[in-house]
Amino acid sequence: MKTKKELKLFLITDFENEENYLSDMHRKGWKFIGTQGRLFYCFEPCEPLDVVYKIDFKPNTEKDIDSYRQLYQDYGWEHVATINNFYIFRKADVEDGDLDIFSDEASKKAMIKQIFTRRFLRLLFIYIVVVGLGLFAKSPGFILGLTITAVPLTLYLAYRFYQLQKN
Amino acid sequence: MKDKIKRVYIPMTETAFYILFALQEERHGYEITQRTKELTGGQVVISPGTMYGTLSKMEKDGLITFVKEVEKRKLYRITVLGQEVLAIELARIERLYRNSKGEVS
Repeated sequence: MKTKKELKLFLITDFENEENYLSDMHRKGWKFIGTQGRLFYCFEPCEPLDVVYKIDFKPNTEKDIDSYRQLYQDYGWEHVATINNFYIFRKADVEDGDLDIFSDEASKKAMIKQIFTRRFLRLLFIYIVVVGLGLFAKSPGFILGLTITAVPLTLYLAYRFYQLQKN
Repeated sequence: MKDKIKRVYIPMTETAFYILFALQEERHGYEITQRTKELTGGQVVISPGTMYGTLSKMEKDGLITFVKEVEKRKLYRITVLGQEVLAIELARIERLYRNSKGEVS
């Protein structure tokens, strides 16, 4: 069976775009089967269907993973793949079905906060440490190169987190 | 009782209320949602991400306790602290109800 691979980059704040992308692909007859090297999204041909994809962030991967997946399964969500602690679930879009994984704003914001502290702040911390080491080693070229890439990305992500938190 | 817990949980969200209320009997996540649907005629739905997050937080805060795991499903029950918090919330809701009917207390 022929499969299809697409190169896609979704940042830690882009999980909603990712959900929409996977649903669109399913509607066009391409069923998501997993990623390769985190950037290549793999699909196999399928009946074009309306299927909802949702992504949850779970920082402690190993802890209670079986009961976590079972809980989602009880609600009719199929666990499709896990990319870097982002758990991707899907469910057929039927009428009168519960098609969200968060039923209130507070719990969705709690997930966004987890992504912020576990991913964003951690990366920021690593960046500061690396810059510190660069200063210590007196290599301005290295620091400049790192800053040119890291600062715009950091600012962009901070802006996206602000948007997510506001909505 | 710890004041901090009280500040965080009272007034309670519908989600938190129905989870605590349902856990007066031993239940797992999906059973809590089913019970909540029965009680509210389907008007209050608790989705899995919300359920998982709230159960984890309540367990950490000591309002509920993990009892056992059956076929990969974790069963929980309310603790003494959870019962205290639920009682305060119930009294608050009863007061709201009485006031809304024009009673003064």
